Amino acid sequence: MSFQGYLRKDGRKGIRNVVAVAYLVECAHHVARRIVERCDDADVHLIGFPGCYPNEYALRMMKALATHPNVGAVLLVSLGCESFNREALAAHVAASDRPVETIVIQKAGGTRSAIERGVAAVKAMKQKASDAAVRVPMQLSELVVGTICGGSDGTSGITANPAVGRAFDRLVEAGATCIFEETGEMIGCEGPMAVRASTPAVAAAIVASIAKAETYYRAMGFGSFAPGNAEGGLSSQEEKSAGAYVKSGSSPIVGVIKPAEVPEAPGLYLLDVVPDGPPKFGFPNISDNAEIVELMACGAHLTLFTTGRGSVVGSAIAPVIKVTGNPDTYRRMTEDMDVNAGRILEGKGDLDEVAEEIVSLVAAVAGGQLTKSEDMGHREFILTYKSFEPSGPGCLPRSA
Amino acid sequence: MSPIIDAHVHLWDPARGDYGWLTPALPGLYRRIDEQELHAELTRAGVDGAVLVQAAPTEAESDYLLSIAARTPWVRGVVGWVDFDASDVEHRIAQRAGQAKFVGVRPMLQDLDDADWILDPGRGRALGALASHGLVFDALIKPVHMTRIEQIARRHPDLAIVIDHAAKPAIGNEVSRPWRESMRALASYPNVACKLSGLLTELSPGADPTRVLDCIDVILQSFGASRAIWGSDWPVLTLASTYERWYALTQRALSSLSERDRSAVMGANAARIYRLKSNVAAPAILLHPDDNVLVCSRAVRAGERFNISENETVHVLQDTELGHKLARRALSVGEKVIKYGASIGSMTAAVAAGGWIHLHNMKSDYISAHTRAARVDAT
Repeated sequence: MSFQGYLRKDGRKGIRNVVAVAYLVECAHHVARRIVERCDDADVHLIGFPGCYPNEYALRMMKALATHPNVGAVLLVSLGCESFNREALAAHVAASDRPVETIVIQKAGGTRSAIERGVAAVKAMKQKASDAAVRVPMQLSELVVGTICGGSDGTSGITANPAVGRAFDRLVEAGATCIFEETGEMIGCEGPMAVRASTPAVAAAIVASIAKAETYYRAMGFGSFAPGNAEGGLSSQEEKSAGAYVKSGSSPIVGVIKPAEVPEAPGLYLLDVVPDGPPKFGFPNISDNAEIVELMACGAHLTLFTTGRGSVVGSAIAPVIKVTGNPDTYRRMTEDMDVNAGRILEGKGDLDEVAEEIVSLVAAVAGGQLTKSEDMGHREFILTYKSFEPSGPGCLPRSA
Repeated sequence: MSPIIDAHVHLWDPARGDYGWLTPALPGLYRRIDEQELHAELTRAGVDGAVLVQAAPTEAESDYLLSIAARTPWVRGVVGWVDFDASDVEHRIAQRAGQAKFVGVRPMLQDLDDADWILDPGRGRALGALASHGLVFDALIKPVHMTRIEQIARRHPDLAIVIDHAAKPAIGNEVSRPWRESMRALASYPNVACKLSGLLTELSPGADPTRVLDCIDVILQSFGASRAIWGSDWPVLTLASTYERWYALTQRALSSLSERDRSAVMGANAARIYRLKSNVAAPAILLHPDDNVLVCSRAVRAGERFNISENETVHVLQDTELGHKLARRALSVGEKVIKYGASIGSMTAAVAAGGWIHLHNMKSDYISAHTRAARVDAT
């Protein structure tokens, strides 16, 4: 399976050519949002960080996202007095050969003037990004695919999640890079997971990441468990975790990464999303899109999102493929669901058939086909405070 | 009403090259006929499933039909072909019996010069093997073979025999008396059933199609509503009529039966005699042999009973929604709840087998769960 991608200076290839408009503090959010709305262009996406205090993690994440292979140009929107290091971010984007501009609202003359200048800047950069685009053939092996689940119910763990697991097996087999995460939802699974590690260092990192998650969630007083999970038949965190874990499939786990670390070698990775150190900034991922954003920062070109209750979210920058495990949800929300894994429960197909369907759809979406959430304009994005130590060298295989 | 099953249809691809009888002299039939085309006919008529019947005397064709069946949920079974003269015929039949959806074997007796072929003791080994593996012997015969099949029925009382197309009587303006008597004689063996199919193509030129109704009466009177099996013989049927007209004509013939009897002829008999596996998954699934809970694959109602394996029955005690858990056996307070072969928490109240298990009677051993209204503490 081959399709056309966008070649970037760092050698990575993108499956979209998005102009990202990034606010660098909540105070610049309105201006950035108005710029995106005024452009009224499906390829102009809003991203940003709301906080005013300096945060290493946020800067690293924004650098990774602004130079994501699906991004062709970047407009930074700053109020002016916030601590975000806009100069460092702009320099990082410029060094990647992408068009980049910064609008500082306090210098631009205020809201209206900043919006006018921003709209003009986006239009000019979009043209530049399109003129400069280098279209090249791209293979499945060059894709980075993430997976998460959201709005899980009692069907997720028996249909959609194992089907995605088998799709992951096929993608890894084809040489792709696949990333699963939600360490807070894998408590109790660390033993079987460590056995799948390709090296002892990776096994140790897996066990450590789950232990950290357990400590963290206990301190927060809540696991990753929402009322909808209970309405859908899940009774405990352990039950939800066991169902979530099967999304990883059965390939060896070659590395454990942290947000904004881009794997160099292909294979299956665990993304450790729980902050290092004592609990400091609240819940690790306050909603599903926080996880998608971290997958993107690790280079994910697209995300396989499994749901039982029926999540509708998409994402800025990287398309989201929605796989529902619940046949009733599929019937009720067909307009949002790309794949009906729930049909397995009705005797219409098996896990392998659904896995095939998912892999074909991944290739089609990589080739430009819009996912349902993408087509309906879902461009959710959320980034909040966290802190991480970099991964140790043993956690990441180097490319050969 | 149980599912309506067409117990006799064919699919073929002349390019496969092993059909023999299928030549360009049959213009309507000499073309690839696939499951999509059949499905369109079934759907229009409201038929739920079908049994594919062999059309070539080769084992390769059986593989071909099984491969279609494997990817097609509404194909409920395949009646295939096995070489009765192979030295390892019993082994071949045993292997076929292990293949999903392989339900019967049909030697093409009508095309053989020797009417006594099937009576050969060597071939009796094959028939014995069919009986011991619970496979049906489909008898593709003409009236001349009827007395021979009687002998087979007598020699192999455990062998389920299904007469195809009522032994293909020539249908003129009157029902043939010898045929009628032979049908009665065959029906006196409880292991013999008869397909109510294929009759329109046996009509003599110029005969009134409603003469077929007299034949159907003979079948029903002889075999009763519990051993008559409805089928179409599509696409051969299209040489004389259409699927729709055959369906309407047979519904007319069955109109005097009770609904239960009609349902038996239209599907339940085929399901029983061919031992067709249900294509409807059980409403609750056992994910791991060690589990003490089942997961509902659809909403279930109090009082429902179903099997999760051949010898394990579940009796649902209360309405339970899709995705929720049922107790596989009685569980007491403090017992671990096992799903996916792993503990997912502990019981906080006892539950009887078939009861609903959720936050009201179990809790996490790790961290609190919560709904919008309440919190279920882990400790």
